[in-house]
Amino acid sequence: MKLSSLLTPDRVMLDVKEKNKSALLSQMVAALAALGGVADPVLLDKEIKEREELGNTGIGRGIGFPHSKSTQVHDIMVLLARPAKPIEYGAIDNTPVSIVLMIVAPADGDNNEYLHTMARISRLLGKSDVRQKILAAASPQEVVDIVKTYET
Amino acid sequence: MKTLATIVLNLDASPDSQRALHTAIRLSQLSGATIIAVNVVNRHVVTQMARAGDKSLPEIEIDLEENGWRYLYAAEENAKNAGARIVLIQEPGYPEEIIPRIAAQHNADLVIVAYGHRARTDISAVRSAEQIFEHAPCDVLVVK
Repeated sequence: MKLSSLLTPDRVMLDVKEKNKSALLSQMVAALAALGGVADPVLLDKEIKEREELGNTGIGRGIGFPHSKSTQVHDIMVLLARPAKPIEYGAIDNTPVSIVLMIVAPADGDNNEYLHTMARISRLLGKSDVRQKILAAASPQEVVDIVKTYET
Repeated sequence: MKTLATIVLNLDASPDSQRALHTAIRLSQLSGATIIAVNVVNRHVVTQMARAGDKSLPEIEIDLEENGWRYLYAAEENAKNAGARIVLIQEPGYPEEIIPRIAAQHNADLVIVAYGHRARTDISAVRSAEQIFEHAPCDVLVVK
């Protein structure tokens, strides 16, 4: 599954004011819940943070990629946040993150599809020019258009 | 015996590598060590596939990058479901250069490499494994 088929302008948050990782993740879960499709946002927030405790999802180069399979959703959901200022994330390369992409998939969903989707997203965000354009984007629609352009 | 805090695991597509993952998870469960799972987008393999083939270099790199991330996330799922701590890294290059460098950067206590059928029959894999043994800044556990 392509990121461009999951990401819509209402799933892009630019210049988010939260200054720490925990608050940012909670705000992203709340934003996903506001879009509908999350049974219990409190539980999802807890699940994501528990998984984060077992391994930081900062994949380097300023990218945070929190992810979880959860009984709280019935479909794969994504949300992209761009903090107003890079935040300390505890990533393996010690680089503060400036783009955070959250993906949540149903616990009983197709695991291969989930792994493929995460792999595609990781490769996409690994491209320097994609990151630079997302960082410079002026609107959520522009972010969506960048993703579409580079995924084709 | 020294307590394990950080284990660097060289992770690729091979079944041997999957066995190495299970060993890393067991060690992490016993010691609480964090596994740094490293997938190298292996230039040796890119070159071999390009010579063999049907695909262009960029296409091969895209395949290897995406497959590598898939192995990493599958490994992460296995590890976290087992309560083991794990972080993921993907880098392009040569395993014999990248694995020792990452082990040194993170003060690893142990490097785990698979050395199974493919490694014994592929000369570049043999050399790569030998150089990891030689240049790793810590002990190396070979899973075969």
